[in-house]
Amino acid sequence: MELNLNDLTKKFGPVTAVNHFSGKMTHGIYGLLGVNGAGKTTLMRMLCTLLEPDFGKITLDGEDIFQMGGSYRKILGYLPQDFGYYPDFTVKDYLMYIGALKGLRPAVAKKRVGILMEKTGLTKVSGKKMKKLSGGMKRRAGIAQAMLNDPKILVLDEPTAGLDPNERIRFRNLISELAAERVVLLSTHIVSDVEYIANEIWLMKDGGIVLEGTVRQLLMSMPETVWTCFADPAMVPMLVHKYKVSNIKSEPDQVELKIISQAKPVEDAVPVQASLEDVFLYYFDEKAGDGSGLL
Amino acid sequence: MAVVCYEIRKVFLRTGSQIAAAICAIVVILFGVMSVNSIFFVDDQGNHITGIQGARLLAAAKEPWEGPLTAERLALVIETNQKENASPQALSEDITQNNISYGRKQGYSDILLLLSDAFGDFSYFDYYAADRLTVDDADNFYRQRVLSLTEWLYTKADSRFSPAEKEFLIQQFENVRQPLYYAAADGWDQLFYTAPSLITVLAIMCGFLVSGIFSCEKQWKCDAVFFSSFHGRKKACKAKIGAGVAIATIIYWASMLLCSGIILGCMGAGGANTMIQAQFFGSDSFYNITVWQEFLLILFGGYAGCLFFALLAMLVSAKSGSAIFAVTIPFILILLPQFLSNMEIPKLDRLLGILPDQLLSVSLVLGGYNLYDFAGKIVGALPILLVVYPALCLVLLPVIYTIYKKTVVR
Repeated sequence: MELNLNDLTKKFGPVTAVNHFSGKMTHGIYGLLGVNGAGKTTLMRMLCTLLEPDFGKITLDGEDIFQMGGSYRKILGYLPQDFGYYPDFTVKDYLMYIGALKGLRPAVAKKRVGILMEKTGLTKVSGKKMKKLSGGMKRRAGIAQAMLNDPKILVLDEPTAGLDPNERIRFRNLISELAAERVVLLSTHIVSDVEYIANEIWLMKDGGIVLEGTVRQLLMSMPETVWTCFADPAMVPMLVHKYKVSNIKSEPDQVELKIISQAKPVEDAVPVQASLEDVFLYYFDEKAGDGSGLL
Repeated sequence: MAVVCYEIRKVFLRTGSQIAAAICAIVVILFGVMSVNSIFFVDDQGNHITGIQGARLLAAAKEPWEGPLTAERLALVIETNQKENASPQALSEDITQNNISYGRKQGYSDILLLLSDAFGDFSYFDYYAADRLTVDDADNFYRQRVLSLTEWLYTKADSRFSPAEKEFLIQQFENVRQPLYYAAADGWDQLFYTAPSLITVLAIMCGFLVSGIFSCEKQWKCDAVFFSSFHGRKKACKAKIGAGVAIATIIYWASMLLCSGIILGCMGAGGANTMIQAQFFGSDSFYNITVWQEFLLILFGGYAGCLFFALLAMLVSAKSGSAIFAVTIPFILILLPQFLSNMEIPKLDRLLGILPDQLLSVSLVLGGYNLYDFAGKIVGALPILLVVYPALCLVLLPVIYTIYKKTVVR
């Protein structure tokens, strides 16, 4: 299976949300990393046939997905960023309804709903109305609905937004488990969501890919070194202004900083292993806010 | 089918929809009970008896007068009425005595109304016109119906109708089967009187119930999942239309049949096969149909109207994604013509006569004189309404489907 995104462009009035985007997915987890407004959601919506590109084409094994229509959507699972739900449906009813929309026969839907509720830990709340669920539980229902038709292509837009750290880890593991033999495109602006599970990461900025590759390739691509050092609190504003600072940790008399720089920023700075977060910061620093790592 | 059921469930799980359904049930029962209680019988002591018992006693009093309205029968009614008018009770100043006299007239009171209608002025009803008749006038009853109409057409309504239209109306009046067969139809009378109000309420409620079918996905941000699903842009769109049609159909027919059942069950369904011209409520109509046929026209016309307004609400809902906007459209289209009908704008009557709100009050359309000339063929408003709006309903179905399936989720 080969999903090709070929020179996609989508504009909303004067704003170009996706700008000549190209990429190819075969199998495994593809992490789409970018700051808010980078065009991730628009790209995913095009991938889910919700929006047609103004220019370019998305093909599955050579066939245009918009021409394929239902036969493409049959193998698609989508968890949108703003995951909506029918407030008065119970969890089970909601999943059964989505099962019907996905064309599952009632008996098959019932079985799949049972399995997925078990897998996502929703069995205990199956009779509860959707509006009564916590944010985490709603997200679980979201991933369950996306998986109902056992999709070959799974598109997850910010799936861990609003989840606590425990839930985020559980979710990450679940996605990793689900990724076997399918294409998963996972969009996020939380680096740790994809760092450990993505086979390939696309860094997206201003509607296009600025960098792509495995975590290792991305780390290798960074031309600068990551340093850790201790500094006097009074020096911190100067360092933040001068360098890209990926972490600041305050201690009683001094501050520990993680700095991305070609040259050694201070005398006692020690080079350390770069993380994906450092790479993210390196490429998207200007979006993080005018050198103001400090509040 | 499963998706249709889920769509219907989605509608009725909303509190607003549950309240609307409850309002429909309450209105139906209220209208039914009010209709039954509005009829009364005056006993030989001058006392009023209302409700089911009153209806039964009245039907029994009218039964002896059932039969063809021949000159002899009409002469007997005029004669009996004259005698009654000369009775001490009728001439008394005491209201109870007058009531006793009226009680003796109840059996043939419907026929008296027909006589008053035929012999009085055509444009307004003179209740006492029958009291001024002699038995000789009975011979002229059918001729007088046509004469009254003709006089009205060439005097007060002269500018309103073309010569062809005048000829059409006269022809329709002359075509009435003679002699008319009379049988009491008080149950039908009450039902036809109640129907326009009830059907209007049902049309508004149906519009309200279906207004959210297409907009709820957007409202609850479920559109992305909906349209990215296998059936999202085909079968599920059809299911939504199916659910809307099913809701309007179930609400309408359940309410109408229940209300008809209450009224006819309590007051009797006699007189169904008589011509509406043999009943006071249809005496001036140019539509030569039976009471049963009027009932069917009211039922199916009302259904076409409710369905049209429901589909219109669904169309607006699918296009705009707003349930509030969707629900206001039927409301405006129902109420605006009623407001405009009070304004004297030339030629407006003819336009108002074929607007969809007319389908909600077929019993009033049957008593109206809106005529339309199609290349020399004169027709009343009702055939146009019954052809145009069901056809528009059929057109709206694919339009709604096409609009909704092309929804873009941003």
